[in-house]
This record gives sequence, C-alpha cells and structure tokens, in this order.
Amino acid sequence: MNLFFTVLLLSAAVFLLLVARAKPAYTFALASLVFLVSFFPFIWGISISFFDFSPPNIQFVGLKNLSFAATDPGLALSVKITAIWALSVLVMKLIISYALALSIASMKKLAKFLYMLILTPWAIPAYISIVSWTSLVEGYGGNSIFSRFLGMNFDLTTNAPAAFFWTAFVSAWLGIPLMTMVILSALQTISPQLKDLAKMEGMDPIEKALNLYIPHTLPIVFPYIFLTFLGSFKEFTTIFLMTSGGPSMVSGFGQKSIVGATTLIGMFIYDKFYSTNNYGVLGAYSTVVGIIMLALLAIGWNYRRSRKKFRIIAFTLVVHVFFDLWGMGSGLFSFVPISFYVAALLSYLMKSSKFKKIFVIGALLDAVYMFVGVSFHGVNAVSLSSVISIVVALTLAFEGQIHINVFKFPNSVWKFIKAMWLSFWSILVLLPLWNIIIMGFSKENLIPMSLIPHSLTFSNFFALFENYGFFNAIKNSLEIAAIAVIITLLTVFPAAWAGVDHKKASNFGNVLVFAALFTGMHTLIPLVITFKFLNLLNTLEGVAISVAIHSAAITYFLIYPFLLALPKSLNEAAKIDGASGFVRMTRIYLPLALPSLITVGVLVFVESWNSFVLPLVLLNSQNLYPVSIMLYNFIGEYGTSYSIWNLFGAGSIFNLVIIGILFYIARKNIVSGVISRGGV
Amino acid sequence: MKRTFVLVGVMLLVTIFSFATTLTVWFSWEGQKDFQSIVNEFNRSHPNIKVNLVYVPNMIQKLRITLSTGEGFPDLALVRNNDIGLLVDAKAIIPIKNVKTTPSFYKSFLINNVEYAYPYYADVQVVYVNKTLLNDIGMSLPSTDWTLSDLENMASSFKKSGHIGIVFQNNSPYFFNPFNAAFNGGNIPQKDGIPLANTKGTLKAAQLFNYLFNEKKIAVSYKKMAFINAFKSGRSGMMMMGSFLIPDFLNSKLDFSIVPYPSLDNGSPIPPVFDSKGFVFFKKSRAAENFIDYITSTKIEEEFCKQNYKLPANEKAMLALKRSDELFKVMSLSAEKALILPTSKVFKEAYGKAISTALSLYLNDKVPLEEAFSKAQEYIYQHK
Repeated sequence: MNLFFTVLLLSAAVFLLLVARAKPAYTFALASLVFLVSFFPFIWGISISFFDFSPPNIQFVGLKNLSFAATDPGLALSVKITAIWALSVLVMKLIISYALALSIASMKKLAKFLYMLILTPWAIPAYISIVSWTSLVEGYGGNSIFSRFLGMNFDLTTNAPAAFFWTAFVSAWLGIPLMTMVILSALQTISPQLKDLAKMEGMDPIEKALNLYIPHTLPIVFPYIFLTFLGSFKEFTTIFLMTSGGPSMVSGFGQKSIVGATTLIGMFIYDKFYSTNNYGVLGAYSTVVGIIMLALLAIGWNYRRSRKKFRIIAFTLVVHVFFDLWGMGSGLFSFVPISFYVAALLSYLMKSSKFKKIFVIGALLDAVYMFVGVSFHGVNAVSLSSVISIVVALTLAFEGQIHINVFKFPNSVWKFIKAMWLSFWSILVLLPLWNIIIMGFSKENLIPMSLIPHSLTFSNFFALFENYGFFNAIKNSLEIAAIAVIITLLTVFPAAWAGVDHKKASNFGNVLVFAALFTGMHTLIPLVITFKFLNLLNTLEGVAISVAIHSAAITYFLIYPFLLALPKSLNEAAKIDGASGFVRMTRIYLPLALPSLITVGVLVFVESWNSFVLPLVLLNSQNLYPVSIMLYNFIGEYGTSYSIWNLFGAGSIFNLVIIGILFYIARKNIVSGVISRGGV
Repeated sequence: MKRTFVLVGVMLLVTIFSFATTLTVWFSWEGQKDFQSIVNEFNRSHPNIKVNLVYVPNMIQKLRITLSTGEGFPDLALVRNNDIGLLVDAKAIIPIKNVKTTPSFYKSFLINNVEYAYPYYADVQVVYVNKTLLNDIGMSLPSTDWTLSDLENMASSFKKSGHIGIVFQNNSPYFFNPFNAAFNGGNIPQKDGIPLANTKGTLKAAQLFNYLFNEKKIAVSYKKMAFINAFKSGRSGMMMMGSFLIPDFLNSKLDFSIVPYPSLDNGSPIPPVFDSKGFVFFKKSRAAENFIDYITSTKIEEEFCKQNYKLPANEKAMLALKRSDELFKVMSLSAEKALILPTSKVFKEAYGKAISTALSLYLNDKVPLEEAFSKAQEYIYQHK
C-alpha cells in the first residue's frame, strides 16, 4: 500500500511537471487521468518487477524477474508470431483497401452507397463481428458454412495455418473500412489534370494504380501504415474471441511459457495474468513488452513528427540492431541487411537519391532470408527486425517507377472484374450481419449451417429482457457511456482550448497520441492492480474513466482543429478587454464549439457502448456488466454452461440498431475526425 | 407505562439494527436465483445479520485480482476445491473446524491435514446418453457396472447409424484426468506434492485417447460449446460431461439419461472428477458461521441441490435426494468412486495447461508421445 502510493505520487508529480506546465489549470485534469490510465500502470509494473510480489509477501529480488521475462523463449516466440501476424494483417489491409478505394473512386453511380457499405464493419462492435465470423468459419469443430462451401475443414483449435489466416483476415476485415477511408481521402488530393493525362495516355487500371494512384497516395498514407502495424501488434480481441491463442505448437511448448500459433503478445500477457500469482513476474513481463512497444514507437513516431527519411532509417537501423542483439532478429545474417541500411543512411547524408533503393534492397534480403528460414524451421525463424524493415521499406518503395502492364484487357473486362470484386466484398461485409440476423430470429439454439433461415421467432428478444436482465446491462452501458462523455467534455475540451490559446500547451496532443499508441494489454493488466488500490476496480466509473482516456487522442484531435479554425481575432479582442482565460473558454469558444462537442459526445458514447476489453478486464460482478460483456457471456464461458447463439444474435441485433442510429447521426463528423487523426 | 414499553421497544430495535453485522458473500456457478432466495430468507429470519450476496461470474479471476493487492476480500466465497491451494499459499483464508460431511467432500478441501472450506455441493462427471438414438440402434441403457468395451460397442453402433459415437474435448485435462487416474491407481500421480505428467500410466491413458479418437474414430473432439450442442441437437449418441447440465437438458425436454463412467476392461474404475465447491472463510466471525449453519442445514441444502442437480455435502440431504430421483442415484453412485483433484497451486497453475498442450500435440501427431509428456513435466517443474 505504502509502496503503491509513494510510486504513484512521485511519478505523477514528475509527469505533471513535464506535461502540464503550460496552462496547468486547463490541462491538469486530463493529464492526471492520462497518467493514471496510460502511464502509471507501466511505471507500477516496472516498480513491482524488482520484487517477488504476492501480498502480503513482498521481497526485493533485483533484476531476477526482469531477467526471467526477457530471456523467456516463449515471449520471444510470441513477439515473432505477433510480428508476422501484424505484417500479414497489414498486407491484407493494404491490398484490399487499395482495391476497394480505387474501384470506388473510379465509379460515378453507386459510389456513395458502396462507400457506406464498405464502412459497415467499422460500425459493428468487434465482439459481435468476430463471434459471427468465428461461427461462419469454425461452426461446430470445423464443420461450418464456410467449410461446406469451400470443401475444407477450418477447425481453429487444431489447424494452425487456418487459425493464423482467419484471425489475420478478420482483423484486417475490421480495419479495412478505416484504411479505405484514408486512401479515398488521399486520392482526393490528386489533381484532375493528372487523372486526365493518365486517361489520355491510355493507361489501364493496373497502370493507373501503380504509376499514379499508389505513388501519389502512399506518402500521405504511409504514416497510417506504420500506425496500423503498431495497432495490429497490440491486437487482443480478435485472438481472444477466435482462438484464445491456440492451436498448440511444438516450438511453443517451452519450460517457462506455452505459446500457441496465434498467441500474440496481448494474449500472452493476459495468459500470464491467469497463470502466475507472483505479480512481480507479471510486472516484469509487462515491462519487457512495454520496452518492445517503445522500440517500435521510436520508428513510428518519426512518421508523425517528421517526414524526413533520415530519422526513419536511423531509428530502423538502431531498432534492428537492438532486436538482433536481443535474439529476435536473424542472427549473424543480420550483418548483411544492416550494412545496406548503413549504406542507405550514408547515401541519404550525401544527398544521393539512391538511398531508398539501397534500403529496399536491404529489406528484400531481410525478407528473403526470413521467409526461407520460416519454410524450413517454422515460426521460430521469424525475425522481428526483418518484419520492421519490411514495413518501413513498404513505405519507401513506391516512388519514381514507371510500371507497364503487359496483360492488357479491354475496358469491358475491367468493368466486369470491378463489378465482381465489389460484389464479392459486399457479400463479405454483409455475411456476418446476415449470420447474426439468422441467429437472432432462430427458434433453436444452433450455429447457422445455412444462409437460409430455418425458423422465425421474436421470442429471443423477449427472453433477453425477461430472463437475462438485459435492461440492467443497457442501464450499465448507458451509465458508463454517460460518465465517459462527461469526463471527456470536462477534461478534453479545456485541454484542447489551452492548446489553442497557448502554443506550448498544444504539445499535450503529442502526449495523447503517444499514450494511445503505447497502451495495450501490458498496461491494462497493471491498471487492474492500480484500480484495485484506488477502489476503482469493478466499478462503472473505473471503466468509464478508462474508455474516456483511451479515446482521448481521437477526441482531442476532433476538438483541437475545430477550435484552431475559429477566428483568432475573437480571442484576441476578448483578451484586450481583460477577459480571463476561463471566461474566454466558456463564453466565446464553448458556444462556438458545440457542434464538435456533440460529435465528440456521440463518438465517446459509441466507443463506450462498444468497449469490450476494458469491461472484460475491469469488471467482475454480473450486476455491473454492460451489454458487450453480457453478449459475450452468451457465447463465452462465464455464467452459462454453453453458448446461447440465438440470444447472442438477438442481443446483437438490438445493439446494432442502437449503434447504427448513433453512427448514422454523426457519421460525417466522425469520419472526418478520424481521418485527421490518421495524419491525412 | 405503555409509552415506556414502546420507547424501550424502539430502542431495542434500533440497537439490534445498528449492531447488525453485514456479511459479504461471493457466489458463482449455477443456482444464482435459488441461492439469492435462500439469502433473502436468511436476512428475513436473522435481523441482526445482513448478507450482501455478490454474484461473481469468474471466481478465480476475482480472487486473483484481490490477491494482487491483498485487500478487499469478502467474508465468505464459494470456491472450487482445486482453487484453495492458491488462497492457502497467500494466507488469505482461515482453517475450518467441525465440518460434518462425507469423506469425499472432506478430502476435497484438505491441505496438510487441515480443512480449508466448508463443503457445499459437488458436480460429478457422468456419461449422457441420447435415449431416442439408443432406441434407434436397438440397444438399451447399459448397467452401472459397464466397461470400456461396452462403451466402445455402443459408440460404434451409434457411428454405424450415421451419428457420432461419443463426444468430448480430447485435450481438456477435465476429461483426461479420470483416464489418467484409472491407469495410475485411482489418483493423479504426484511426487512430493508435484504432479507427474510422464508416468507409464499417464502415457497409457494418452494412448487410449489416441485409440478412441484417431484409430477407432468412435469419439469426436469438439470444444465445450460445440460438443454440448452436438449432443443436444441429436448428432451424438453419448457425451461425457459434468452433471451440472442436467437441469438444462430437462428444461429442454431432451430424451436423455445418465450412466456412471465405465471401468477399464481389467476392472479398474475410470473415476469421474468430483467437482466440489465449498465456502472459504476470509474472516472468522460468529455471523459467518451462523450463515453457513443455515445454508448447510438439511432442508435448505436439499432444496437448493434438488433444483440444481447438485450433490449436497449434507449427508441427510444426499440420502433424501438419492431416494427420490433416479438421476441423483446415478450421480451418487458416480461420486462414490470419484476422483478428487489435488488442491496444490502447481496443479492449478501449471498441470492443466501442460497436459492440455501435450495432448493436443500428441493427438494431432505433431510430437511423439514420450516427448510431449516429458515437455509437460519440464513445464510443471519450472512452475512448482
């Protein structure tokens, strides 16, 4: 107890002095909460890692726990799996999103309709779509709609390649709407003259994509590419709901840890939480994962702050060496690609334009060596250093090349291909929704084995409210959402206003972005212990604070540009008239910012309503469960003996109607706000 | 005078209520509504004690989080017997005295000859049989002393009729433990309190699984949610599972029956897991003892267990239920030869995960038998 509060007070004082120095009265509240939710858990994890920590037994052990975690081959393997999984998700997202964006951008009729259709997965809570996909793919032990259609068995509990592919695909499916939006926005920046020129040159769609669209949009999109990679690196929900980290792998059966084919680091930390009673060891694992995230952020941060290639290449080089020395690289072979990266750096310093090519060659060598290694030795041959270099190379590769398509098709064929592709993707978007509808109206508690409903009943909806306390869950969700909205408006708006009024205070936005990118399961598990000490665990307020702070980056960057765009003369005139900061914020900016605050309110409401991981980890009393956890309980283990698919379907339909209405109301502002956060 | 009596009466009432002890009780698993009714009745009949019942969907998660700070424990919590090692190691719970129950229940919560929970009820594993499918293949329910060969024959007949013979999850320690014990003298093998994962008996048990699932293919493995659905929807003739599903199957009007686990052909019983739950005391108090006395009294416990098909720890209640219901008779018979799982922390934290991984790898032909279980043993030693 004493140790906890000593660490909390000391670290909070240092953080607030560093972060909230400019206009502290306006930034203090948000800074305190961000510190508590995003940074302190990591600091607390580091602090307890020096102890064998099983209250009331606490014993100082120095670096023993950290050394145990850092040298755990299971953790290294999990990091490697995470790296290759995140790369797979990124590649899928990029290819599909570009294909969708380019198809829609070239359409006149139906473009708006298709755009909204493609955005649909974004509006569906992940815990609903993931469960729906799982039932479509896996069904009963691999016997499912998909397995019948494709003639293959997809038992995600035993078939490692299937588990890896489908989890990556579903994760990509969830992220494709946002990436498509970003690419579509970037496509708007291409001048009509260039497009006309391409048309006059007789370029076919492939040539246009390779020579015009991709080279012109990638510089805008590539910051988002690395952020997407980082996001996938922290993925938890998809894995938790689809495979729980399995199936088992021979190489994952270690002495310290057991790692399955889809045990990403989020799942790894979550598993550790339930298999160790020494919280010092848990703190050590969180610390080690935090260090890995910081190393990745060291590269990713440069995409946001500076688009100068020097820093990106230099940091990639340093991080490459760091992971090579840690044993997560390609061993001695690493000297080969590293020499290319050094050459690329020197070439850049000598102002040669060849630096990109040299870097890409290094990354290609990294990739070839890794993929050959994987084909012979399996996932253990994955190199985190190589994966990072490949991702960075992806952002540098498409510049200054002329690509000619040798396989020319007539226009009518392209039109047919485009129509087929868009129809196919539309089906993939709607399939999980249709599956949920079949479940929700089914008389029997069964996973649908056909896309044609075999029965129709409304009784599931009545049962939800009569027998399962769905009203209580709705009340809890509303309470969490309301508190989160209030916290956001009371803390984020003053901080955003401070940033507008005082340039130094605007640096706080960077802290928020950093916090959003850094946090993950490695900070969430220590947050549980932190909240327990502060009596916030197992409370709706605790969940609401966490949701509000996890959404703080996006809400800040929705409000901040809006305030920045307001005429500065208003503020200056009021200042001359002697109006205090508080008066200027509340009397001038607040009324003018109302439209953006309403959007922010709706966004936070939707984020709170959809939140799954936070209530899953922070709540453990049934009477406090929100809608998300209640629906999960219908198909998960808690509270029920086995899955109740039809009630899950009915609850999901009800949920989707609420979210759909809110999303429809605020869609335009939310979309523009999210895109601005992506750096476009 | 009258006024004085009223005043004294009011003062007495105020005194009683102001000194009322509040007990916080964490409850989990099935029977939430029935237990809430019991608590409500207790609160009515004991005005000086107020029980605050908290339903906890995942008890072990909640206990772990509470242990992480060493604060915020309730007065009482219902726990599974193999969770208590964790609580004893953390010195979070206190020993119990004067427990009146059957030897199986008593043994379930015993660590170093000290009893750490007041036993409440138990589930026991049984074989569920679909009676409609059984009629279709022209067979009748097996006797209670049936053997593994009988089970194989019945499963083969179901398979021939286009159904799954028997269904359960083949990499789950919950299902493997009974077979493991059957080849290891009726217990989970241990040495100095550390579970052993690579004894000859354990390897034989794994080979038997391989025979049933991969060679003879009369058993099919699904995840829990899938295999229950497979049985319930009539795709499988038999299913191995805990008795806690009985109320749901009865509500669904499923045409089923239960039989005890069979014996091996050499006569060694395959002991079903005795999944017992009991109340642990985090704080000693007279009020908590009163509450336990109340809920474990014959009539109250009999009613709760009857509604939820649980084996009561109260012997008289058990006797009454056994006499009144055929399903309880089979459950009781199963409990007589049941397996009581170790309560140690290493069994809870390492054994299950290691065995599950070893079985997955072996049964999916990724690792030879001995290597898989040697790795499991190494993992267990690392986490002892």
